[in-house]
Amino acid sequence: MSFRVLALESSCDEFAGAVIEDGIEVLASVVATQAEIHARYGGVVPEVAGREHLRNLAPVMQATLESAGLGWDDLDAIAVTQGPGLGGSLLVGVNAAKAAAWARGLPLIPVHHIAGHLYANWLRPARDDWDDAPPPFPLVALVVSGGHTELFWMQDHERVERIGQTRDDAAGEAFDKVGRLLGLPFPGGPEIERAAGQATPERIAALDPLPRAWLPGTHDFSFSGLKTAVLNRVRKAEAAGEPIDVPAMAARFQESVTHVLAEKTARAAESLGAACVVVAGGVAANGALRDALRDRCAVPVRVPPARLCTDNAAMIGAAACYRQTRAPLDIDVFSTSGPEVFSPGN
Amino acid sequence: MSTTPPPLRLTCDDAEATRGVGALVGRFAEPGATVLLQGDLGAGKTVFAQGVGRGLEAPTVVNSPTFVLVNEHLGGRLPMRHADLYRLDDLDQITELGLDQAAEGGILLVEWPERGQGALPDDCLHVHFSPLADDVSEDQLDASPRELVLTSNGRNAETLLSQLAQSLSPVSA
Repeated sequence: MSFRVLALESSCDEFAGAVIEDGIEVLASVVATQAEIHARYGGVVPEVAGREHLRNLAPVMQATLESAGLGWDDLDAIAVTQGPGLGGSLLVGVNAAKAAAWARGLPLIPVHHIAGHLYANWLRPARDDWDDAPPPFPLVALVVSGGHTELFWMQDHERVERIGQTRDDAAGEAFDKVGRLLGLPFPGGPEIERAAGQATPERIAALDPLPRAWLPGTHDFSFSGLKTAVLNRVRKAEAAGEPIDVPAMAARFQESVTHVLAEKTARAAESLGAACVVVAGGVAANGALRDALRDRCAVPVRVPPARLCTDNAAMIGAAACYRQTRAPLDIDVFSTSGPEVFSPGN
Repeated sequence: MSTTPPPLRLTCDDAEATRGVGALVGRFAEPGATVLLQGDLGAGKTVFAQGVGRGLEAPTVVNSPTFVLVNEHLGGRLPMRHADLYRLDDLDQITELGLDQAAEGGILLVEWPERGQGALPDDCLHVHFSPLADDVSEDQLDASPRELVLTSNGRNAETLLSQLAQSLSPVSA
């Protein structure tokens, strides 16, 4: 018997739906960008996130089921991102999920957004390079995105603990803020990677390396000082009327971030005896980070394809299949980082 | 009749000193207190918020809410909500956060408040951060001095600022 879940994700500025079978197969995955909805339904979608979600939810749910070739009777559960995220946006997804669960008599499975990111690694497209095998336990998981930089120790699906986190800025946040300091367009992550790719070794060598915060004795991270160091160098150059070598600075910055992330993740994996490392979240799409992790870690490093690194509903559906915590229909969203990622109910 | 307390100017020699001022705010703040944290990138806003968390004895790690927009820290003397408007440039989005109500029963900290004028509580303590040294070693960023200027707007903030002024000896008045 297969287990099929319709998953909804609306924690940020996109409304996404997916149907996942047995925590592996992506039967459908739809993200409500304007283009997709426009192509299907020919409507103009307003910009404001919460209201946009409200208009997108019915078309997205319908498009997701159509794309999967399934009807409501083929589903076994409804999953939804409960938080963290923007309260108004989350409410739209959670209430749509509650309504669908109630109307169809299906169980409702709330999922923590970060748990969702991790479980992108269990989906078929992330297994392709690994003979279709799921990530082996025990494992160390690095979640690295605009809002999060956290390390988890997963002994199995039930025993998961957060062992480290950023004490100030998330890695993705540092990418975006430094991108802005260097005059690069938003979002900073891909722009910094692109700019860094244009720097020659000679020009990089002409710049002193940027600092790295190691926070010895912990699995925690800190990227605030690195951001401030770039700011100070930019200010100093401006004051002296000197131009900034943007590609070289981007390369030095990326090198600092990826070095710390790879080194600390590898050390955690070594000290705990992990069988593999999984990476998730938007910054996992960064090629330099993937290379640094694979160079440094002695165990296999798994990273989902880029489309499963950014926000999507497929990962929520995957997490729901492995962590079937059913919730009553009166659950509320949480818009903050309050609850633990893997507390009961998440 | 209360008189508006004068601005409180403080020099913090390092990040720990900035946390110390934040901790006093955490210790003295009454439910409903709103504190606006204004200053450039790397000026010490999140470090100050870490201090407020410490003063409240909140058990959670206070890190940057730039992407999450609002972090909630429970388990301390008062609930603390820590907001960051850096990514938001649309007043509608900021209004949607409901920050005008977010201080109720707890303490609200707002980074980059200049982006949310009109969507924030009127009664607030304002903390302005500026770096004092131009040339700081990159290994010693935590030890670079900052000037903090605290001003109040409204009755509750005036009371809080007066308490802070009494327990601190300003470098210059």
